[in-house]
Amino acid sequence: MKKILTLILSILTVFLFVFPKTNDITMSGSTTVFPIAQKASEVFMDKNPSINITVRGGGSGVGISNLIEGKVDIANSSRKIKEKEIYQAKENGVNVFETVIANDALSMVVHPSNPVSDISLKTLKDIYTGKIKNWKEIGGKDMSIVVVSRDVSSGTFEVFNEKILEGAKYREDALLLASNNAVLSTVKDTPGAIGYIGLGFVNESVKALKVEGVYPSKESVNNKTYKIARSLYLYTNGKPKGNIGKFIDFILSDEGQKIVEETGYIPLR
Amino acid sequence: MKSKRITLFLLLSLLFLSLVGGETKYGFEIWSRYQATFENENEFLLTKNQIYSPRGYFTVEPKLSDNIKGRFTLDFVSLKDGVEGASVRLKYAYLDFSNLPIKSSNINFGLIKNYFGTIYDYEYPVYETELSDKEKVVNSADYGVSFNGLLPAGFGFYAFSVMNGEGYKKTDSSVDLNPAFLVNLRLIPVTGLTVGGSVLYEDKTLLSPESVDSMISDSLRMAYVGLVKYNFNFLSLSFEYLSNKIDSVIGAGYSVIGLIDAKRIADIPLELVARYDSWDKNLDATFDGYKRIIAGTNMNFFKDNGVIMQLSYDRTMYEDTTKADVNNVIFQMKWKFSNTLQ
Repeated sequence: MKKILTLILSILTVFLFVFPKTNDITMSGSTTVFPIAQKASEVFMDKNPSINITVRGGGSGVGISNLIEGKVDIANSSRKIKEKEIYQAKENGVNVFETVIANDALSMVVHPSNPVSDISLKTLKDIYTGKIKNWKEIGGKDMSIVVVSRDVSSGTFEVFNEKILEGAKYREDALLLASNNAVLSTVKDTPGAIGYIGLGFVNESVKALKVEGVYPSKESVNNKTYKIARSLYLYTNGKPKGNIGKFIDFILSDEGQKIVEETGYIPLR
Repeated sequence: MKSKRITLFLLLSLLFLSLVGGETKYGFEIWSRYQATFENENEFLLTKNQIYSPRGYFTVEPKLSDNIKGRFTLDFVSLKDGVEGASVRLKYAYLDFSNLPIKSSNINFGLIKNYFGTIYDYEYPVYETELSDKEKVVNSADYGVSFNGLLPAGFGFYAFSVMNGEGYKKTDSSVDLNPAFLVNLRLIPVTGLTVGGSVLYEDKTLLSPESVDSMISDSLRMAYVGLVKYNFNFLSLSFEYLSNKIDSVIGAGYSVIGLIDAKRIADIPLELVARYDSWDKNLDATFDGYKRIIAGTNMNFFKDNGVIMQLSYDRTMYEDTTKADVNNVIFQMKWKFSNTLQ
């Protein structure tokens, strides 16, 4: 036994010297949070050249799973962590700590040529479950509705599922896409399409719809009149310390919150 | 015959539902292994030197709605280390109902996971199966129904199951009239520390008292396991104590596993792992126990691509001193892929 322990300790010592762990910060997860994380990390690295930050997407579910497995330091998420994930994390020795970094309005977008400009929550549900299949049924053109959604590993998908579909089943022919950009691009190129994306991805190539008479905006989220608003999160193992803490403090600072606003999202203050 | 029909019905239902339903996840996993076995009585004697594939799994998990999921898994098993080909068995075939009135709870029905000890979430840190599986105290799957769920704030997990009790490998006349009852509880009092245990009880005279007259030897069965797991940063430790009582015969043993994840302390994707098992099939008998040590490394260079390489050495020392110690050197590659169709 003594020999085995000596061998293990020797191997570990060699590892520590030959392959030292770097000070790099790794983060993965939500494609909605990605623009904030990427821009903030660029600015932060300019100010702290000795710290390297790697940002990957994959979706909120992937990010949280990576944090639980110890693969990343920070999980980016556009939804709250689930109870099952908290259990897995605790069992794995990961003490999940949540930091809200921004707010967002889940924006319903259609092709710019679509005359429909306002939509109710019930109509959205009917469209995404297949009860309404043509735009003319809600005052639009005689044109089939192409339903575009995010894929299942996306936090945006889960928020939409919870707030709009309330557990109902998606239309079977819905296009489930891997990123906000993919949804944006499909809606932009498809006259009959409807999709949902984070506010930061809305641009002039698509038309954002009012939901229950309210446009997605900073004001409507802050005064709580926009019905499909949400927070954006960073999850870490324990209260962030060291370089990770420094980076998250930066995002929460005035300068970081300005980046949140510049990327199209809603700052915390 | 009845069980085969039920199995076929479940299989076809899940296949059908996976075709008409929404999101469906498909996965395939295969283990390829090189094994050299040495026995050393007086001198090392090579008794096995071969490459084979001991196991393969094909899994389909259709999500029928937010509240109903299905799962079926086909288990490809090498017969006699591949010498006699392979057989295919149904491993899991169940429906999972969630969003019940009790928060974070589920009901599973069909050929379900057996929530006994660590058999249902054992992740093979070494190539060998978990102790209760290896000693055939329980099977990892059985026909039955389970109510299980999470305690609030990730504080733990519970499961109550009623199963056939004979495991997924037995059907038809191998299944008696009496169900087996299982209770499993895991608690996480502090992050990283898990304590828990399971009890499985089966009285084979419960619904068929006449079997008492026939003097069947296995009329009362009680198996229990207690476990402690600790995960902190690069270190994982687990200890499990297992006992299996069949009438007056009690078998008992324990298994300790330690794992160091080098990736957490140095930039290298390696795990160093050691396991120690002790098992006595009958505490009242002599010379029927063994002790076993397994030490090895898991090379996770391609883990993100679904490939894990495991190299290990193990030695089994029998209580019966007339039996030679058995040594194995095993190199195993596990690879898997999965895809979600939407």
